[in-house]
Amino acid sequence: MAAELAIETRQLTKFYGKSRGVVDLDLDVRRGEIYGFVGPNGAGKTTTVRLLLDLIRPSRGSATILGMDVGSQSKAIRARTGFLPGELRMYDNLTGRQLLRFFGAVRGVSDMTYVHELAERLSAELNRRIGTLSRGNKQKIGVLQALMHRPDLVLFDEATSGLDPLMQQELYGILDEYRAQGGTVFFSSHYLDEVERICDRVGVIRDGTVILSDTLEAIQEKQVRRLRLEFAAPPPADFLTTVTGVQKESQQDTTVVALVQDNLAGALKEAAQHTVTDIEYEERRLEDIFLQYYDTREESDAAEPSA
Amino acid sequence: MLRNLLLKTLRDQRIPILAYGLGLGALALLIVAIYPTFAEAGADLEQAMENMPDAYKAFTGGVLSLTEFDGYLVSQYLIILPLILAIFAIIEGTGALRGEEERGTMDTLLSLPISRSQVVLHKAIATLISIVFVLIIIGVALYVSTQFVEGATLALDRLAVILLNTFGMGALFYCFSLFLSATLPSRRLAGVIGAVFAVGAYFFDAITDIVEGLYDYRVLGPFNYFEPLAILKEDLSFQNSGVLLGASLVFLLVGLLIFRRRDVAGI
Repeated sequence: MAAELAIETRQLTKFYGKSRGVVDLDLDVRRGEIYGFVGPNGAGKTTTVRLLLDLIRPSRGSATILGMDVGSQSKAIRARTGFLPGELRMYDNLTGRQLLRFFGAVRGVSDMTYVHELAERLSAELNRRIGTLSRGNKQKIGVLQALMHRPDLVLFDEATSGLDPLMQQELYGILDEYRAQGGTVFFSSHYLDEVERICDRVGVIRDGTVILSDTLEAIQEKQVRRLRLEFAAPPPADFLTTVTGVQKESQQDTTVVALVQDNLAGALKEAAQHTVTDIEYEERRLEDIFLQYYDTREESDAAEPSA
Repeated sequence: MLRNLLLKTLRDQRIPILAYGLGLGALALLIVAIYPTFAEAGADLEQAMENMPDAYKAFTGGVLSLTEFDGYLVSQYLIILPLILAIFAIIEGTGALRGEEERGTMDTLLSLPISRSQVVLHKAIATLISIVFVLIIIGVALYVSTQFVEGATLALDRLAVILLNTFGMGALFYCFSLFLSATLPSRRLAGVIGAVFAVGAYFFDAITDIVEGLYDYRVLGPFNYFEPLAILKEDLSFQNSGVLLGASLVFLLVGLLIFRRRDVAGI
């Protein structure tokens, strides 16, 4: 299993003095997938990425990338990975072309054909000094440097911020192709729509700990969704009370509202015994699920007595 | 010029190299060119020097005569050369690690397949090469100017040893600043401590020379190992330069070990 994992962390923990970075983080990112890593600011996303890049050292726990230990084999890992943070800080005195030539030399990339191809797709300005470029144009150079050596894994940390919607779409297309060729993407973001758009699996981090990690479909399936049924005539009072995985929320005249956990088929089977005139089944987007988790947390925080 | 971090660092330093080299080279030309006016002053100047307080002599390299070219060159130029080079060394040394971290470029640099040790060593070697370039320009300016000024004689071998000794001072200030850059939480703090160290070392040397009872402590200061007058007047010795380069190496290695172990600061 470990060989199939691009990233594996076990009880990875980082404290900055007494401040929490991440705590007992267990992550499994499979090779060839785009893994969305979502959470609000301060949840521990950037700390996780910096731990994986060996920029900071864990307080305890372990992490491997492509089967190699992040601490002792960091240089070998970085030869096979690319990195793009939300606001890439580069050498402002160099032009994009000079920077890519420098990074290419360090990475051992002699053929720049792929880089030029990507630059054309992203309309990147390579001949201007980086210091004179807008944030979005700098970010395009960042995308090029992260992918120039066709890495096995790229770590994107809020990487699309600054890109206009057209360029974001172009980047999603590039990442789709990259995945199709076997590449893995660790995609840290707080833009849930883009995570839904491109990610195969999603991990949700809260207070430095991963609280949920699964495919988007599985996460959605696990969620309680509201089912609203409209009948030609009022159904009996015990309607939907015996179906497992379904909880009737209300019944008023011909309208029944139920919360469906995982047995939509059972609910529809019972409904089919009556004349149904309308059905509404709530769609749960990642944003709803995400907010549900965080709202729950805020409620429990509020319930905790202050010290 | 962008094939590796060493060459990139040299490229980044090309303007300071030219500025320091040409500036200090021009100053050398000027100092040597006006030497004849000092030589002509002859006995009057000798008398004036004799009446100078010991403190003045201590701060000008222990020179006793300004009419002799050796003493003149040391007191008017060579003794301050390490302090001017220290400005370059401290800026580059503190910027090498903490500066890159504070600009946020260290994260980008360390996302490349380059180890932290390589980052330190490439930057250190490049800056030491830059100091050599500056000293070569100064050396050429000094040697050429002495060929055209009457009474100004400077043997090539002695000039080379003086430049080596000066390089030792520059290397020490750079490596100490790099060590501070690896150790302290901000570039500004590292720069302030580096500057205090350089200027303090100069004063320390002079003070231990004139205050009775402190003389034995001279060996603790780097300027004790910078003796251009002795190189010009006595036997050629590499011992002082060896001490300075050895101390530089210690600071470099300790800084490297600290940087390898600690967290890289984010922005």
